[in-house]
Amino acid sequence: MSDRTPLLSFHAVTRHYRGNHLAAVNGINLDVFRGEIVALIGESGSGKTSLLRLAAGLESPDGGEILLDGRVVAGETIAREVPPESRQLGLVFQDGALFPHLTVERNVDYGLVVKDKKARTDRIAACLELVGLAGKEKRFPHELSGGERQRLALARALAPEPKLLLLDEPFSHLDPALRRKLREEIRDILQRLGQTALLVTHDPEDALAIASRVVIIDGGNLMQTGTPAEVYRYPANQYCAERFGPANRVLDHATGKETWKRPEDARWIPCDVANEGDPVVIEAIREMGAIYEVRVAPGTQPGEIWLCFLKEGEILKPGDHGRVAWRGTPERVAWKS
Amino acid sequence: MNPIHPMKKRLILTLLAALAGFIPAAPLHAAEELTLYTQRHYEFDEAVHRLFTEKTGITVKVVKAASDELIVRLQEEGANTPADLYLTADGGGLDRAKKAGLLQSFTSEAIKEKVPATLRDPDDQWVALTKRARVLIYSPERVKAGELSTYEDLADPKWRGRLVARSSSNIYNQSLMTTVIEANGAEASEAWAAAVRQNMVRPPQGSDRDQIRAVATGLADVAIANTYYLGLLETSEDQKDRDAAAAVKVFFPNQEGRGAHVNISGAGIVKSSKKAALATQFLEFLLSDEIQSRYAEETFEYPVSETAKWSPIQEKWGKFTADDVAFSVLGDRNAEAVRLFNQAGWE
Amino acid sequence: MASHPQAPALPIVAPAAARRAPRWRWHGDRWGAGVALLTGIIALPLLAILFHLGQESAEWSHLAETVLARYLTNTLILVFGVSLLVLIMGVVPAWLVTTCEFRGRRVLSWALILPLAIPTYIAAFVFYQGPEAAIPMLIQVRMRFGVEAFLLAEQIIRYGLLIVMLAAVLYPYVYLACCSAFSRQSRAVIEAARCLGNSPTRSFLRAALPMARPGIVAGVALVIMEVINDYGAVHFFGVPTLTEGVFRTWFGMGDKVAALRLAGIMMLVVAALLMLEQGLRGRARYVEADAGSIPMKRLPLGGGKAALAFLVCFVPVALGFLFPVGRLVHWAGLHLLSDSGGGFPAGLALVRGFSLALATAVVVTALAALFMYAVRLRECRLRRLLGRIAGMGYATPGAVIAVGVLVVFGTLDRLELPLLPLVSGTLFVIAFAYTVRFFAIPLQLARAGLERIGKPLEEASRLLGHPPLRTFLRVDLPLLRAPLIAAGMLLFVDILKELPLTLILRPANFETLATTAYSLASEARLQACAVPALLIVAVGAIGLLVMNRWLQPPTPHE
Repeated sequence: MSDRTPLLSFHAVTRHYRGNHLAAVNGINLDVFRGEIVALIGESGSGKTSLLRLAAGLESPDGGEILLDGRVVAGETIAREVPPESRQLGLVFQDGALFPHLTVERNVDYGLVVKDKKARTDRIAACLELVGLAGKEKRFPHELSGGERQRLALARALAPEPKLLLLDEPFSHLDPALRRKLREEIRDILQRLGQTALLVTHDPEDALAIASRVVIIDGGNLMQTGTPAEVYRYPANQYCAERFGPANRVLDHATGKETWKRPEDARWIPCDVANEGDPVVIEAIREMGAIYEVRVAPGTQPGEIWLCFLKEGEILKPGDHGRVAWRGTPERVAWKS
Repeated sequence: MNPIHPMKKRLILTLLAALAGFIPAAPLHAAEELTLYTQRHYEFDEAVHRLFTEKTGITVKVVKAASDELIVRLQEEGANTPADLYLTADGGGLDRAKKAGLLQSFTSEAIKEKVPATLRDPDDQWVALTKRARVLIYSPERVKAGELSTYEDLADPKWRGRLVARSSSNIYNQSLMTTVIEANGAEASEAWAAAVRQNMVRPPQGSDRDQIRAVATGLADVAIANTYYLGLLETSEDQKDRDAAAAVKVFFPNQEGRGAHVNISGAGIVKSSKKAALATQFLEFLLSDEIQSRYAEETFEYPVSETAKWSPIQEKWGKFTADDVAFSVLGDRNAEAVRLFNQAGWE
Repeated sequence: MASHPQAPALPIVAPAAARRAPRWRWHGDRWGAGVALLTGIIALPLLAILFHLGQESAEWSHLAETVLARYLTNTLILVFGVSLLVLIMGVVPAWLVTTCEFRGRRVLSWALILPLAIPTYIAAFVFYQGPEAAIPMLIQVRMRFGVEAFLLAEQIIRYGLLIVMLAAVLYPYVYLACCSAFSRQSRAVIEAARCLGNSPTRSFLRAALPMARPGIVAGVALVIMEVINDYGAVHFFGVPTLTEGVFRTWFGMGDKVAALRLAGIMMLVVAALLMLEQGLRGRARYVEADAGSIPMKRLPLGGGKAALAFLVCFVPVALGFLFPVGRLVHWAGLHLLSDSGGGFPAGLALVRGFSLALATAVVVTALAALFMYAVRLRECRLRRLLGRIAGMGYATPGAVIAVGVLVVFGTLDRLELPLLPLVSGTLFVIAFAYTVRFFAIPLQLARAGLERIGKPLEEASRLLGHPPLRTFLRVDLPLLRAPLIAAGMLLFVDILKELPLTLILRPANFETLATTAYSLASEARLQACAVPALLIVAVGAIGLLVMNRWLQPPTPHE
C-alpha cells in the first residue's frame, strides 16, 4: 500500500484553539489508503477527535493541508475550503446524533441523493438489513436501544456510500458486553463492504479488534503507527505502551535501550540456573481466575515493579527469588515516526 | 420521497397568514381620503369624522400621538408624509409646527369670516377649532368668597397645603407658564412656580381629573385644571364622578387683569399635502355652527365661532374674560417654561 | 475511562508558532455577511441616536443642575425597592412550589406567572385607586399631626404603592428563573445538605439559594430593565424617572441631544446589567450542566404549614393578577351595562394591530432563529459581538427607538431611493421598529434552543450532504419548534403591550389594544378603558400559559 494515492492525507496539519497555547493538532502527517480501517487512539485531549473533525471539514486547519482523493480540500493553498457536505464522507458520532424528529427509515433516507423513489426505498431497506434493523423502519430513535441506535447511525452514514467512513468513539456510551458485540458486527460489515474507515477511540480493544492499522496520538503529535500487533507488542514509548493496558519497562543492559513487555509475555524461570531473563523477587500475588497476577521487583531495575501474568502462581509466594524472561523477538519491528 | 413535509406545509401557511398582516386594510380603489395627525383623542372626534364622511364621502384616517411627537414625525417624514392636517390640543404646538415650516396657509374666506383674527395665525397657517380655559376649581365649603383672585395669588402663603396640580410635563401647565412669563418675566415666574409648588398639598401627580377629585374629597381646596374636565365629570357614567363634580365650583382668575388663561385646540394644513382643498373643506366643516355647538355639548370645549351656542353647563360656569396673549408666545416660550419649572422644583 | 492505569500527561512544549495570540478571524462567507448585514440594519436606528450624542446641547448643564439628581434618585429608589420586593415575591413561592407539596400547589405554580400579562401602565390605573382611597386617611393625618407628617405619609403611600405595584406585576421574571433553577438542582445536593443535619429552611438558605443565584440575578436584571424603561406608571404616580426626563426634555424643551444623553445614561445602566446577566448566565449553564436532572421529591406539608405555604404563594397572585383583573372586570361590567357602553371604538383598526403583531412575531422569530443559526455556524468573537449588538434594542426605551427609526427612514427618504416609497410610512416601518426593540427575545430563546439541539445533529446533516440552509430547514427548524413557539408568543404579547414606540410610529387608522386602552385612559374614561385592558391581559395570559407549556423541558422519550 505504498505507491497508490492515499484516500485521505494530512500534510503537516496544525490546529489551535483559542485560550490554549498547546496545539490540538501539531503538524501531523498521516495517510489513509483505500480499504484500510485506521484507528486513531489517544487520551482525551490528545487531538485525535480534532484530527477527525478536520478530515470531516467541521474544523479548519491553521496550517498545513488536507487532501481527499488527491485533491486539496482544506489548507493554506486554497481560498475556500470544501465544506463538509461536499466531501462525501460518512460520520458516526459518539452518541449517534440521530435526528430525533425522523423515523428510522427517514434517518437513513436523509443523506440519499437518488431521486428515484424505488431506488431510495431499496437502498434504505438494504442498509437497515445490513445493520440488522429491518422491521424497525417506523420507529423513532428514542424507541431504539443503545446498540440499535449506534447501528442506525452506521446505516445512516453508510447509506450515501461515502468514500470514507469516520467513526468518533462510536461505542463509548455502550456497556462492555454490548460494546464487544457491536464492535464485531461493525468490523464484519466494514470488511464485507471493503469500506475505508477512520476510527477515533480511547479504548484499546476497539482499536485492536477493528483496525487494520493503529495510529497513536498524544498532545497533537503522532507517536506511533503500525498494525495492531505491532503497536501492541512493540510500543514506541511508555505512552504508546500504556494505551493497550499494563506494560513493563525493560532495559536492555547492553544497549541501554528501553523496551516494553506485556504481562502475559512473562515466563517464570524458577531456579537461578539459567542465564536467561532478569533476576526478580516476588512482591505480591493475586489470583485472577485462570491466571495469577504476580508483581515482581527486578533486581536490575531497582525501584520498579513488573506485572506478570503467570500460571505458576499457585506454587509461588511473596519473597521467592527467580528469573523472568519475555517471549517474542527482542529487536523492534517496523514502526514509523 | 414525500412531496411536502406536513411540518413545512404548516410553516408555509403560518407565514402566508402572517404576511397578510402587512396588507393594508383599506381598499385599493380608495375613495378620496384625508389623513390627520392629531393630538385630540376624544371619542367625540371619531363621531365628527364619521359625520364628515357621511356628508362628503371623504374618508378620514387618523394618527393619534402627543403634539410634539407628531412634529418630530412630520419633520422626519418630510415630503413623503401621508399627513394632510395637523391637529393639536394646544396653541403652542401649532406655533412650533408653523415655525418648523410644516404648515401651509389656507385661503378660505369662510374660515376668516368665522374665526376672529386672534384665534388664527397671522399668516393663516393654522386656525383654532375650540377654546379651553385653564382655571381654578375650588371647594365652596373651604374656600371663602373673595379668597381667590389670580394665578399669581396662588403663590401666597395662605394657600400652604391647600393646592393641587398635575405634573409640569403636561403641556397645559407649560402653556399656562408661558403666559405667566409673558406677563411677569422669567425671574418672577420662577419664584411663582416655586411658591405654588410649596403650597401644593402633595407632589404633582395624576391627571386634571384627579386634581378635581382631590378637591372633591377634601384633600385640597383648589386645583388648577381645564374646565372641560369638570364638564366630563359632571356627565360621567360613574356616580362617584358626578358626586365629585357637584362638590366643586369653577373660578376664572385674573378677571380684573389680563384674563383667564385660554388655550386652543386647532389645526393647520400640512405643507406637503396635495389635498389642500379637501383639508379646507374639512376645517370649514369643523367650524360650522352645527359642529361647534356639538363640541360645546360633547367635550365641553368652548366654540371659536361667535355664533355657536354654548352648552348649559358652560352657561352655568358663566362668561369670563380671556387672556388674549398671542399664541406664538405659547410656542416660543415653551422650552423656557420647562426650564423654569425644572429650576422651581415643580416636577 | 478504561481500566488500565492512567498515563501521566507528557509535557509537550508547543513550537513558537503555536503560541501566537489567538486572532480575530473573519470567516468571510455568505452567512457571515448576512449576520453583519442584518446586525447593521437593526443597529442603524441606535447608531442614528448615538450619532447625536456628541453634539452640543444647550440644556444639558441646566438639566444636570436642576432635575438630573431627582430623576436618578427616583430611578434608584424604584430599582432598589422593586428589586428587594421581587426577590421575596419571586424566590419564596418558587421554592415552595418546587420543593413542597400542598393543596393548590399545581394551580398556583402556573398562576404565579400570570401577573406578567398585565402591562405596568394598566396596573397603574388600577393601583392609583390606592392613593385616591387613602385621601380621607391623609386628611386625618394632616388635621392631627400637621402638614409635614401628612406630606411624609403621602410620599410613603405613593412610593410604596408604586413599588408594590411594579413588584406585583414584575416578580414573575424572578419566579420563572428560580423555578427553573430549583427544579434543575440536583436532588442529591439538597438531600446531602439535609443528611448533614440541615433543616429544610437551612438547606434552602445554605445550598439551594446560592446555587440558584445566577438565575435569580438574571431575573432581577430583567425586572430592573422593565422598571427603568417604564413610562406610564411612574408618570401617573408622579415619580419622574430618567425615562420621563427623556420625554420631557425632548418634547417639552425641544433639546434632542440632552434627551438622548439621558437615554444614553439609561442605556448604559441597562447595558451594564445585561452584561452582568450574560456573565452570570454563562456560569449558570455550567452549574446546570453539572447538576443531575432527577426531579426533586416534594416535601408534603400538612395543616398550618400547608395553609401558610398556600398563603405565601397566593398573595403575589392576588396582588399582581386577581386584584387588577377584578377591578378591570368590575369597570368593564359597569361600562358594558351603561347606556354609552357596548360600542367598541376601533374595531377594524384593532384587527390590523392584531395581525401586525402576529405577523411581526412570526417573521421576526423566524429571522432570529436563522440569525442565531448563522452566528453559531462558525462561532467566533466577532459574530458573538454582532449577536449582542443586534439585541441591544431591548435596553433602549421604545420612544428613543421610534425616533431613531424615524431619523433613519427620513434620511433614506431624502436620498430618494426608488423603491423606498413602497415601505416608508407603512406598517413596515413600525414592524421594523418592533424588530429593533424586541429582537433580543427570540434571539435568546433561539440560542438556548440551538444549544440544546447541539452541534452534532447539524454536523451529521452537513456530512450527509446537506448545506447549511437545508440543514437549518430540515433539522434545526423542526427541533426548534417549542422554543420558537414560546418566543413568538412572548414577542406577540410584548408587541401588543408596547406603547410609546407604537404611539409615535403607528400609521393612520392603526390601533393596538395598548393604544386603544391608552387613549381611553388619557380621556380618563377608566370604565371604557377596562375593556381593551382586559383584552390585553387575556391575550397576554393565554400567551404566557402557552409559552409556559412549550418551554417545559420535554419528558424524555415522551
